Amino acid sequence: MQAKLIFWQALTPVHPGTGQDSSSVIDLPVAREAATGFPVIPASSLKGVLRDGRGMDAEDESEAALAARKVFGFAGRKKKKDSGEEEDISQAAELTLTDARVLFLPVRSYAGTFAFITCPLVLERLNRDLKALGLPGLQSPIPTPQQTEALLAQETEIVHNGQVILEDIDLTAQREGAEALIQELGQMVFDPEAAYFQRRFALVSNDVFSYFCEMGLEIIARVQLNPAQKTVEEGPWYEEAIPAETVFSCFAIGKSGFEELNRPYLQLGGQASVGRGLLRRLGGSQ
Amino acid sequence: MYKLAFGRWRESLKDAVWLEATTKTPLAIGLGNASPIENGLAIHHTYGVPYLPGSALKGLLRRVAERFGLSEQEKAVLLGEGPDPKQKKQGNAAYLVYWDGWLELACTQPFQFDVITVHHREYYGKKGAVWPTDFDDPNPVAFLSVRPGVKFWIPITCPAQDAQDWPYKAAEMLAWGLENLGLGGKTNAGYGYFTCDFGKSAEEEAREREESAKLLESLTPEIEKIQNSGSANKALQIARQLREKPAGVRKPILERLKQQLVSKNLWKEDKEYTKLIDKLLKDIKGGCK
Repeated sequence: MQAKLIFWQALTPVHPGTGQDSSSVIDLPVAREAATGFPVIPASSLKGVLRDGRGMDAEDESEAALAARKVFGFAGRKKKKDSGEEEDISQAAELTLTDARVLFLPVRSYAGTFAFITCPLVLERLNRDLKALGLPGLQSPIPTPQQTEALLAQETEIVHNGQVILEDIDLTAQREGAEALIQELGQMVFDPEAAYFQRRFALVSNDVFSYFCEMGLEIIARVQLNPAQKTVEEGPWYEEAIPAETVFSCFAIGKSGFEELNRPYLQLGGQASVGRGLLRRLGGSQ
Repeated sequence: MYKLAFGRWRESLKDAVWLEATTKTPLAIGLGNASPIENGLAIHHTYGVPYLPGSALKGLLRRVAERFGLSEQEKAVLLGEGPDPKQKKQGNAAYLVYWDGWLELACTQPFQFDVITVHHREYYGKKGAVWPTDFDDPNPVAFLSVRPGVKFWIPITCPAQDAQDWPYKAAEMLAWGLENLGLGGKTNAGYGYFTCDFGKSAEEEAREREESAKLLESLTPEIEKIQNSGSANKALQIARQLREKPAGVRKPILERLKQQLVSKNLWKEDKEYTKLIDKLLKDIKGGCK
């Protein structure tokens, strides 16, 4: 058994929809973790896109189909060639994927365009999972920011008059205490673009992070026009999306099939035909 | 920062058909979006730059498809089709992906102030219950629009490997729509019209490479003559010759020239040839100034 930590970064907004009305102003919300409310890409979305329909036909005996069934599993029966009897050819997948959780959320910032925020809860969970899977955890301590504080790198771009102004929340800029952690995260996820990340990183309290997960996602208004009259036929309806730049972390666990993850780009989630859900893979070859 | 993001995005979609659309008239898209001023504009959530939403492009293509009288099957491929409960059909998703159109990198000031003046507020507000008269107070509403001459890059892809002429077809139709039907709001008042340019085809690129190789061969002896500050002005002459050549043709030659200058320690920021070569290398063709 082997485990790998993998990072994905959204290049366009991602809509891992729930298909359910949230009975709020948002008609099409994104998937969220039940307990934390943080947005998430369900492992099934990720797995479905990686599999891309391979080996789903029970009659298909080609090498590629067998290999895909070994890695991604299969449930079904097929008729034997000689006797016509049905046999069960179900098998479990050798590769397990976990939900891709938000690691860094981009939030609009008054200075520096946007900030990558995360919170101790997210990092502690990552640490816990790394250890549980026998992987090395983060070396640096995870400091706890005050409610009104943002811990930043020494060299940062997101400070305005001693404050970090994220959407409508003002936090006090604090450049001490998290330098080692920020360096380590930058190296781990973004190398060789670490500076791009470090300059706009902010460690905020769990509550502030929760607030932005709830309120800070991208909301896109859509309408459908009548092609002849150019008047609104349907809508507006409101879709939520996890904004471009968001970094997700997920684990791949298993015996084989890790090479399936070696692709630089993926497109997943809803509204794909209007360009949502382009992800790039980052680092993660631990 | 946007430069890096744009580069990553371009790289990730390198197999796409690229449409380069430049605004010919002001563009007002996403007027209904929430905004601190009264009317919105489609602004990228993360980067704060104007963009063309993929959904708007796809919607425009739907109008073009109706206009051209495309068959149901063709529309199903280009746009997908909704479920039809009567015939128990599930519908299908579109086979193509219409990505958001991103703002050209070289563009630094895409916005302009704009104003709509409502002359008959009561008449519109009460849906015609009050007559419009000449005594009404005009009510100017300021808003931002994208000014003319701003370029956007629109990629279209098709995930199916064996249907690569579809994105070309879609791009052609979309170009027609952008030029003739307009995108976004207020198209009847002349807003939202573009001029379009196709990204280069593979053939064209091959031709440019060939021309470039020939030219480089003929200029190499000249370039190699540049040995010291006395002969450095030759670099300026060569660069000037290349000014009119397409970017794809001149780039390898300019790079060779730069390499020669650097190796002889003649690449200095304040020299005129350095500035010209740098400028030509950056290739800000078609972008806004």
